[in-house]
Amino acid sequence: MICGTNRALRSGLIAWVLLLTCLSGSNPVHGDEAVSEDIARMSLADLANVEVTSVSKSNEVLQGAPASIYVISHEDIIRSGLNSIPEVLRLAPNLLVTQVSASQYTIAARGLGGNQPAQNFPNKLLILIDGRSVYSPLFSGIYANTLDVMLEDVERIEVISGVGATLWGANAMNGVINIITRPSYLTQGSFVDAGAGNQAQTLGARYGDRIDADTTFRVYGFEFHRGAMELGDGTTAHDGWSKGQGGFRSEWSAERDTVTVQGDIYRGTENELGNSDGLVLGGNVLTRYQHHGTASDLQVQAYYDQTEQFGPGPQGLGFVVHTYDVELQQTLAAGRYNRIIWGAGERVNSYGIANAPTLLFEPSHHALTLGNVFIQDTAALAKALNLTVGIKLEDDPWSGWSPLPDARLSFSVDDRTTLWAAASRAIRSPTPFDDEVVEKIATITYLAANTAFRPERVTAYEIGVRAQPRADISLSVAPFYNVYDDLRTIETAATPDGLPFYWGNSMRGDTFGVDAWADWQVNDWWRLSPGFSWVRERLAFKAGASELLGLAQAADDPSSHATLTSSMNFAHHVSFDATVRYVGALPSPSLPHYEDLDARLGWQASSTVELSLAGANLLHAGHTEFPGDERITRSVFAEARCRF
Amino acid sequence: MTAAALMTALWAGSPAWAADTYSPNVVKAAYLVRFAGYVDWPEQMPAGTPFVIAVLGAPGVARELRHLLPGHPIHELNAEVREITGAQDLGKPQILYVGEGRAEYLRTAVPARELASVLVVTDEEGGLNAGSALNFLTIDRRVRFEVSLTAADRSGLKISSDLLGVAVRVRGGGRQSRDACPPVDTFDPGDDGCTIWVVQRIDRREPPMCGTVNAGACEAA
Repeated sequence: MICGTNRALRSGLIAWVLLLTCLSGSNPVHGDEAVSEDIARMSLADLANVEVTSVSKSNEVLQGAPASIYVISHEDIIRSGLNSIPEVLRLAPNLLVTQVSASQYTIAARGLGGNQPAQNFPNKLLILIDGRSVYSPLFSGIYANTLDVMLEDVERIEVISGVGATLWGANAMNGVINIITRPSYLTQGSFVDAGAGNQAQTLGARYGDRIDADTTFRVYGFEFHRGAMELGDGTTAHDGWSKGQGGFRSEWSAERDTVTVQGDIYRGTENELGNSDGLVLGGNVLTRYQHHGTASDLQVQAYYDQTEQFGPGPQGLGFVVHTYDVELQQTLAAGRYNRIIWGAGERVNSYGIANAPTLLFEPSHHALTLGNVFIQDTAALAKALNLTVGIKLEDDPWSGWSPLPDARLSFSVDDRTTLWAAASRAIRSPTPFDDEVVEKIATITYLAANTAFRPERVTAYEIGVRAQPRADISLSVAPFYNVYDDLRTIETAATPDGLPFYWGNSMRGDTFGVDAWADWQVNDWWRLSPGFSWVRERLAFKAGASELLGLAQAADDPSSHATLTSSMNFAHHVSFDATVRYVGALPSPSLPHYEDLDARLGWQASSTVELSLAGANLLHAGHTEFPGDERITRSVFAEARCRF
Repeated sequence: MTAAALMTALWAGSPAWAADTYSPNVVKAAYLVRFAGYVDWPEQMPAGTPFVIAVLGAPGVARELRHLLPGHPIHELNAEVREITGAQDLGKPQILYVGEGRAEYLRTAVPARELASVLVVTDEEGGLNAGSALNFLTIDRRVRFEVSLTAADRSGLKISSDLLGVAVRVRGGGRQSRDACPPVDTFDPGDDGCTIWVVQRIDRREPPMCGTVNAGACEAA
């Protein structure tokens, strides 16, 4: 412990020294002089150093995509002043992010976000970091304390609401979150950042360099501490946590081939009220080979990931999961009008669980294999009309092969307007938590394993419009209608007292709603970005259901949530960003609606140094997002970022 | 920084609070005009014909080009911008700028033979894979670019080493060597018809890279 503290102090000292060196050696920006110059007369080298206004949102890349995709750019992340992945995900209007404790969040899209008291966790999203799946194979939910990445190196985060199973794969039932970091050739040089505030202290550094003409790499490390939440009576919830993480990424790129190798290692500790610290640790290594041919692309990827958690939660006392994954994907042009993507993948999740006396996985050690093959064709039917048809066959250990078909039509009305429609099916494959878990009170088994648990299913119908009606306005509106079946319920045995209970599939229903957002470039220096999401859920038990815990066990979702972001650029490299968000009331357990405000004032003090002051949850001294007693308090955070 | 200094910084700008940075469209338009000076096209352009920059799917960049081009002849020709919607109205431009998100369209819908002698510039991650010679990348609020010498070679274009020197990275172009480069400032087009290029790295601590544009036809210096 003492040794660990020394190490933290030492690395902290080194980073501060680096930062001070960089601050003292930097020159002020000469932006003002540059403004007066005629840009057309600038040399290439000068152009390469011109800072561009970052208020224009680069969503053109999505113009033709037949799906509800929101992109959080690198710039959005830095300008938000938010400093963790779950907080940054709040920027996506099509996601609902709820902070549960200092380290835990729930993340959901398009409703059915689970209900924790009913042991129904948000479990219908797929999250990928650079192609590595990071949802937990034990219960298909997300451990937010494993999602950290060096935000400086993130290129963008793509958030797809709706089914993404055919291309993205397992668990992409209500959405896919794709966190993409920059290749190492775009992160050359040194970067140090240090920040401190009443709720968080962070310190990070990255160094990128070139090994030879074709090979680049970066290494990074960061550590942070995030403060505890507050209980209703104003005392600390004592759930603060700290984490250290390091990693690397390297690219070798030749004319048509790129090989990427990357990896991370991390260790975190979480305080618990009246308990010893919880522990999260893990690491991963991934390699990817990409070949870009004239008529086809090939990608082969393999990774290993190890995640360990020790602490409370649905997995009992603790667990370790080893994931081995290999995937292949090829894109082919078939004639002039067809583009085919096909691929296959195999994943082995091998886990061991230290069972708690009340919650046991039986068996406690198991290896599960998830396999898939898929093919998808995009056909240009007419000049502006594209049809994408695909199917994935997924094989899981309990329910066998499941077909996951998907059809999408996109029509470009003109250069600025795309209409699209989609129909698709997806499943949430059973997990050990659905099939193999046993819960006991003393010697009484009140929840028995049920290996006959079936996948939860959805058939999704979506339409959407993405348009740029004026040069300064772009918008996306995507209504959806989802039909669910075999949703998880708690069922009773045919005994006098109904015990033991077991997980069944006795609920169905439908949801409909809309995800919408827009960008309005008010003028050269000001952008406004509203976002809105609304969902209505109509659920019903099937014949023979126990109806125990009621329909509310499937979800405790607000019917709507909304955000409005303002991004301003001022003279002298000063920027001001603010996001106000509204989240509707939760029905059961009930929680009133809330609204809050995050803001950041940034100043690019020189070509190498950026200083910022950010505030989160500014409207109230504290607010509660998740049913319970824990409140998120107002926080401020000052940060210095230095590139050299 | 004191609060007073911060307030001064906030208010000291123009009355409109105009930001002192450029729109990316302006910078990209300026690049497109500048690029022409560092590229040799295989065919001599007859005097009197316009130098055409075609723009696909980027009305903002086209608008800026319309502002910029009038006072800036390119290769001593009057330059004009032509907004196109697809392969059917491509014509024979000298430069084709393909806006963000359109590289895939370029790759699937525009036959490579129609791009002979055209400097194709894309604007997205992985854009070079669509066959462009230059690709814009926005990194840390700056518009940078990468180069594919193979694509340039395929289109019969010769790209000067000065342009390569500013590129974030250079792909292709035959054997790359870290030693035996001619000095950066004594760039020589070469007697044997091969263009030798030398890249002074952004990171000046590194030795320059050099090679020849016509892969296989000539040896690195």
